[in-house]
Amino acid sequence: MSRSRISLALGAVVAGCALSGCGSGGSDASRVPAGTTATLALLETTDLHTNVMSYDYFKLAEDKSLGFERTATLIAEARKEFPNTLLLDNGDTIQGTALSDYQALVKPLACTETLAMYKVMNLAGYAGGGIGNHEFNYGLPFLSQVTGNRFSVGSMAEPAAQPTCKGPNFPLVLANVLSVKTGQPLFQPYAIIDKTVTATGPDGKAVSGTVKVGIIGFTPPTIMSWDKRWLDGQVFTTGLKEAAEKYVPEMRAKGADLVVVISHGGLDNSTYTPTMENGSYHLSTVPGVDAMLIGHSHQVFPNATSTVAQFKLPGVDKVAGTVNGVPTVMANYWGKHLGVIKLGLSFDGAKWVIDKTKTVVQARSAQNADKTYVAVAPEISAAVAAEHQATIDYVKTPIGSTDFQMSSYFADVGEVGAIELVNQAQADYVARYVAANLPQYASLPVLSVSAPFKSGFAGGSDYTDVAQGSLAINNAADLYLYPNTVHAVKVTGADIKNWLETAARRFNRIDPTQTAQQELVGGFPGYNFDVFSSPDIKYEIDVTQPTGSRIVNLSYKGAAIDPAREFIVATNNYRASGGGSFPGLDGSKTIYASPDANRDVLIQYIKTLKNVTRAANGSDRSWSFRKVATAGPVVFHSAQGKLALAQAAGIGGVSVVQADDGSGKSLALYAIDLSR
Amino acid sequence: MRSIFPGKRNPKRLAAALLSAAMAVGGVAWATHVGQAGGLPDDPLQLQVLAGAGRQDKAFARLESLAGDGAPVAQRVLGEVLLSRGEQATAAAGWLRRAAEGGDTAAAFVLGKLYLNGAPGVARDAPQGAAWLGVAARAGHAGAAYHLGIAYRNGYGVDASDVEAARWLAASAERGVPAALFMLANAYREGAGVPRNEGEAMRLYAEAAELEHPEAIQTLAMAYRNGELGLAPDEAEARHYVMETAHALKHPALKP
Repeated sequence: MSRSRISLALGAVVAGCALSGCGSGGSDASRVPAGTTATLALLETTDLHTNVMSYDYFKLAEDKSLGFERTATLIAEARKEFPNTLLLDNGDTIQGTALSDYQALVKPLACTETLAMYKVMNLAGYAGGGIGNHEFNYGLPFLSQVTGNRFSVGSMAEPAAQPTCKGPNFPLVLANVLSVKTGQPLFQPYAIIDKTVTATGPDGKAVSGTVKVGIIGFTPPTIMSWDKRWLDGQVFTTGLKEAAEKYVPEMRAKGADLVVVISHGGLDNSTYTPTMENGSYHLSTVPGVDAMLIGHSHQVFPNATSTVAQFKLPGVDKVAGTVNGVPTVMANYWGKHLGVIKLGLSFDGAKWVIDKTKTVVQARSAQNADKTYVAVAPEISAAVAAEHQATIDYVKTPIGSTDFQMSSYFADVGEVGAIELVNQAQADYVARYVAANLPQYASLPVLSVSAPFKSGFAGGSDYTDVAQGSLAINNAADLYLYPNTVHAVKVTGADIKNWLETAARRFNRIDPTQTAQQELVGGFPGYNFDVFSSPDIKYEIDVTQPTGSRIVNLSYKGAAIDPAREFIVATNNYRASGGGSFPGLDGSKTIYASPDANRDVLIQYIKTLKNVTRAANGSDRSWSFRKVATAGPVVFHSAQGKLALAQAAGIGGVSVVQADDGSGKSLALYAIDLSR
Repeated sequence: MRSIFPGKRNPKRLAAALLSAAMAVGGVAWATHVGQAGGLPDDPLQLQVLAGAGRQDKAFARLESLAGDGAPVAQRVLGEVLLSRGEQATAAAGWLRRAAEGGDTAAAFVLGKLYLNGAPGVARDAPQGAAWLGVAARAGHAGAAYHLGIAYRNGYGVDASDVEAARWLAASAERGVPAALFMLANAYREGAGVPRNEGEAMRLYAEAAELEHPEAIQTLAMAYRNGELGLAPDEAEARHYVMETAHALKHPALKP
């Protein structure tokens, strides 16, 4: 079919453009008569994040709401609808799923191989792409390799000494990231694509023409903060506007009929600065920009019903899809949408110009009106079957083993079987970081807190429960539910007491004289019930006291904690940055904000340990209830039939009151004897 | 099976080979288009990028020259560049003070943070830090208002006050600072310095979440999971926000 030939020819022309900028324009003047018209639809994907398949690698289950295998169907439908299309990607493409981690970190891609994501993009016939911020997440050597570039940066060998690895077979453009070493752009800033179009002559007959489409890419300058560990001293960013003002006239001078901005960023009309994250609004005001493909914000634009602030700015038409009159599209994320900018073109005898009355902008969803999803394009999964299966195998691979069932069923009464390993991993990670990088804090003890994230709110199955035996990557998601990153805070003994007082709000105030049954646990969520689990720190919780006065006998290494003594506590970004409104925790005490996820730190720790044991990793109870005799029963709820687990963990005084608590949530009612 | 894609049955090797050849020399081709010598911009903010992350000595010299001429913005930017180099906090403080005294609000803000945290060569002086933050915050600097709110929350250089904390966090939140929106939401949720109001908390969390504040997004994830903040439990929404949390953590909204 004819499209095949066009696609192949296009690839070759694009390659030539990357080298030469495609010379002078107006080549159509000799064969296309003035007055010829054509329709060209720009198709945008953005923030695909390596969601090739409609699949959730954590759940190891299909997820129809995302995945390029469905976006591909939208692309095919658009190609049937429009005579001429140009498929472009906005970036945030090569990172974001277990598949991308597998190809970058677990079994790094060989130089001769193509990333799974780029494989299917090649298959789909992309004409070009931009670079998002997430492209930098795996570091510059990886990005250089998988995009088929040879970066000239200080941390890498001279380009001549690098192999040229396989990249996508379409150009990637980025105008605002430069090498510190050379002062030159890291990628080619723009490309001019000779797009062969079928058009209609003034006589009504079909003619073939060539539209020179210039594409220029931008990424958020804030990459310098987000990926500082890879980028500091290697590259720097220039402002989006300055870069556009420099290159757009150059693209026009080289004959670009159209200039399409591929800006990985949303809209922000605050005063322009060269470091602002979302510069697309200001790019729209640069003369010579014909259309913008934007992204990064994970939003849909145009979208008449959107309540998003950035689409309510002056000059932004969220119905028509224009920003200061420039047609603009944002195609959501994870392949959920396809952006379409349909342009009506006419040839004026020298160049192609846009007939603005014919412009139509749409973001097309992979979800149908009846909530079903469009069908998958089967060749997508076929093309990456091996990579997909390898990723699933990786997620299931044993990384160690445990000699006990690790669960959170009795975390509210002191069980640390699913928490201590997390605390140990966090403390070990932070202690090593401090020793290596923060000598000023080397003398401070490093402690760790964590909470039972899964604490039964949704019923008996809403608990961490990892079976005795082998531990795999996917078990780590059960042991650590949220995708937090490790943060370390510097606090005093007084701060620790306040911290624990807040955590102890988990419990209702118990009246020891009351003969009626009393519920132990109140509405304070389990995810805020931070506990230590270390032989070094001990405390009791006196539930007969009001909140704020419950922590007693708080000691460190056998002696009462000095309120003025400083400690480092390993926790997560949520807590360290103010989550849960703990006193003194609001980011101002954070001494290390690691980019590494608590869950990944846990996985590494398990790999190092290999054998997790109850004795070493699940029995150091730092806290207990202050002993008190109560006149009536004190009760709590947990999953049914789990009493033996409490006993195995050495939690005394627990008994079953009702095997089924009647809530209909597979919960039982247990009692705890606080006098034991 | 019929391909839905053009080119599926055609080998792409030729195009790929041409492309990689082109890319191999691409860097050389572009070298003529971007000059770094001469032609330095006069805008201190552009010079900041070149002298800071760009490590360009000429841009640094140009900044020094502009600062010496007495331009407050250049003085502040020079102070920030020196701070980013990590070893010249004393000199940085001098330039920042000159700029702040010359009326540059952002300089007062940076100087306030510097004194509040201390740096090698600049002793921590919380009262002085809070005072400079106050100067900037009262002049309408959103970042200074955020840090002043945090100072009041903790009693850093000021008498701790939840009411003052909420007042300054609100001033910052009104100008869209994500961390301020989040902390103010917390205050409304807890009734700390403002009347407890879960609806207002929810509104502020959502606004911070839209600005990619990871902890705000996670708060929504937890709220959907547990049915908090007036939301009905919704496992699908919870999962969506958990995935968005993971995503945002790769590029968290920057603190002022």
